[in-house]
Amino acid sequence: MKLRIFSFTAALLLGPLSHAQSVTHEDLMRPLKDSWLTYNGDYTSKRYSSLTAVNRKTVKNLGLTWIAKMVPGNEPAPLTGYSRVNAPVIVGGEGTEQRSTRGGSIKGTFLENNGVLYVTMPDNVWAVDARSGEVLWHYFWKTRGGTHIGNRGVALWHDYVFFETPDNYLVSLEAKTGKERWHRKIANVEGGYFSTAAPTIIKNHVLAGVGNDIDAPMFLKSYDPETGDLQWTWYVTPQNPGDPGLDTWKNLDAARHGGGGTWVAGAYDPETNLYILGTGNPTPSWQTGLRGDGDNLYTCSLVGLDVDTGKMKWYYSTSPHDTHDYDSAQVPVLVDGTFKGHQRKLVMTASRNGYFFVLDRVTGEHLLTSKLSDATNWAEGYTEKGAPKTNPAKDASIGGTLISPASGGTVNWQPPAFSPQTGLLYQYHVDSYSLAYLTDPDPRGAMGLGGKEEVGMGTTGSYVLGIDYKTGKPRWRRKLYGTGFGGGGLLATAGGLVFTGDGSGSLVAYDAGNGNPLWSTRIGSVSNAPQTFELDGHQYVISAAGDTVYAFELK
Amino acid sequence: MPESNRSRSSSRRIAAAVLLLIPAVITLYSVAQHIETSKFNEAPMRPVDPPQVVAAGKALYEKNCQSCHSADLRGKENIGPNILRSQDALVDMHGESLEPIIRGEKAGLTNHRILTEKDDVAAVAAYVRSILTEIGSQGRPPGDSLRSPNILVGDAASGKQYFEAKCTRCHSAEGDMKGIGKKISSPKTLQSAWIRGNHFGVPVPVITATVQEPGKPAVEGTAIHVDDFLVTVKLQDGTMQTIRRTPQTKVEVHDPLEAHRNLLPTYTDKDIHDVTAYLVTLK
Repeated sequence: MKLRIFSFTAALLLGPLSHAQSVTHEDLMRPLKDSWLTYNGDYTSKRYSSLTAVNRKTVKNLGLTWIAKMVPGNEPAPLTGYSRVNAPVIVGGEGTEQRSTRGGSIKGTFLENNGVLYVTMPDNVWAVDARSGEVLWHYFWKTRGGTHIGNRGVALWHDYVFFETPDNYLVSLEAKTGKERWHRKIANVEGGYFSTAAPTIIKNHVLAGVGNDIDAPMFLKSYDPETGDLQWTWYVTPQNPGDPGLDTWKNLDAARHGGGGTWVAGAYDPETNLYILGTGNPTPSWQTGLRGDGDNLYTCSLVGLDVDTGKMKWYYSTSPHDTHDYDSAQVPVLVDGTFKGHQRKLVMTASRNGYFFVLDRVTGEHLLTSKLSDATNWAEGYTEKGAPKTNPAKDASIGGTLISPASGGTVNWQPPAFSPQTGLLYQYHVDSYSLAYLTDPDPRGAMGLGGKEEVGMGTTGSYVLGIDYKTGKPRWRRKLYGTGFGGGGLLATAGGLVFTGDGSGSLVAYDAGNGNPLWSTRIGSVSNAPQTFELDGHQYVISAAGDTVYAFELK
Repeated sequence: MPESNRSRSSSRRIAAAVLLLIPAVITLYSVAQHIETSKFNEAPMRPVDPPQVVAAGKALYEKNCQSCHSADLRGKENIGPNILRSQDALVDMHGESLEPIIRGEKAGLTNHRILTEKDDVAAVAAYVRSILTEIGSQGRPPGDSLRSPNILVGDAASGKQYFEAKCTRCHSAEGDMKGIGKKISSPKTLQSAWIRGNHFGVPVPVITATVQEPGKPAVEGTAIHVDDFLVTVKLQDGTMQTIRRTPQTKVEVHDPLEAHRNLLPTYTDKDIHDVTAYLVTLK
């Protein structure tokens, strides 16, 4: 009887807890607030939190609450905080040998649910106590190889964690224990594929994207989150005779090797059931002898895919016939707002090529293109569809061609933020220059990123922009003190703030309305996008610099 | 010492065995090297095929495959595809993927039915694999980094005109630029150097900052760190000072290379090529 009472009490106590842990479709559909359940905060990808405790007035009182250093690899995590017990290390993976894990910095977005943070580096996932920074478990994946350039984070669904590995496995873990449920091969590492993306989960679909620098077909795959079964594959470029878009390639062989990576998570519009994402550059990247003069679809495009079938409903090419490795793999942001006097359902993106775009997300109709700075010089005028028109004179040449931006882009993978309060999209913008030398004049063109040498010539300015989507023009431009991107992305809050790294060793908060600097703390080069969540009535702001997570609260 | 118990003959035998083992050790060592990772994508390397098999495969490839797929395996347009970017080739470990293709067993490859001997097919596959290992990072074709065409495509006379019109306020062919074409022997390095205003091997000019706080004497020194909140300068006496910025603090940063960077948007590619062609003549 005593035992039964105890069980009953335990059930009462633990019941709500274990229930709260489970992430449902309804949870994932909510706008970003107390938790952080998907890569871009919510399906609109605004990275806009409605939390207001930390605001323009109080941000000066934001202070450090804990620090946690992540130690990658197959070793017990060092004791953190007051713990006397090492967190369990769970080892998985298909690799046979111990290999050092490179790229050991945190470039991903943490997910937060019920007081637990999920933190990643390539091959590594940690569950971290969000109140204390204590590591709860650490999963280590023994790799077979692949480019270890970064990992953008995990996905959560029910009581499960999902992530991708550099050697192209989709791995599912139990959120509570870190124990592996299953793993599935997304692509062959021997074929040059590598996977950095955070999976996106929509209804009963786990969407997993890939990257590859050699001339390979790229795709987005959808898996069943329960069983790991493959549901559909969407190829970015035409793979068979008669496929749409084939007339934009010189021939089928070119299209089949046309690239167009799917390495950044997109946004989801429940009304149209479309998953909207940006695709990477065509390959070979710098020479088009094999590709022909066409638009090379559907690379460097925003595409709307029916999430249940993987069928493309619309596309818009933001960099037709790219020749500078300017992936359009940037996070698109969904906004309901007025445009030219009409209420519209919009999608917008600030692209790596230096241009900003607004489309109607229901139809894909093009509404606005703007050039964000005068430095950008690779295009001349616009195509009839309103996209920047590539200027062949700015292709890599034997004597060297001065291009801006450099191939790294005015922005790269770093996710933007959007505030409905200000109507501004916040994104980095770097006016970089490089000389692009053609080193392999073979008319067949080179392979992958070969056939050229790119030499950096410096930058004339590095900024955070607050872009007014109605005009496409920056309403404010905050100068950064480094020569690169401020950090690993941005966060906007209903407290009227924008959080970011400042490119010179600090995490900073700007006034979202005018970009004025309000708060800073010197934690080192901020390597991911700052985030916020609420626990026990406390609003936390978290960010990573290198291998260490920093959490702040109002003091 | 244990060695003292050994007879002379056994020592000789050990010495001979060691000598015999050397090539084996070298082979093992090179295999171990290869097993590490490919320079292409850090994937595990395939087992290395015996050199004589690769050589035989090369001869067979040149005789039977090259006319369509090129000597460098990068293919001929509309005739034979690039083998080096073929997923079927890239994933091949020991012929399981390549050999059926070489034998022409895949649809549309009946023209491949040239080699009939099992060993010949395996040798061609081994040769293809040996070239695949030469693929560089980010999918660069073999030998890509060694290609370096002459970048001097400009007109020296036009470059002289440009230099005299635009650069002589700060520079002169007889002064600081004297002998620049000799000092920097690589035209590519020279081109980077004059555009950036400095080049590798030459110390970057010092950036200085002047900080003026209201009612205080100005502080001037080498700029160590500048952001919206703090400025750190190294003073003439070698000490460092960090000053908190307020809206009233005036901070002026003097970067000698800024003027050069600000010229970047003004150059045409022809200007760049012409000026480089001129500067290389300043021996």
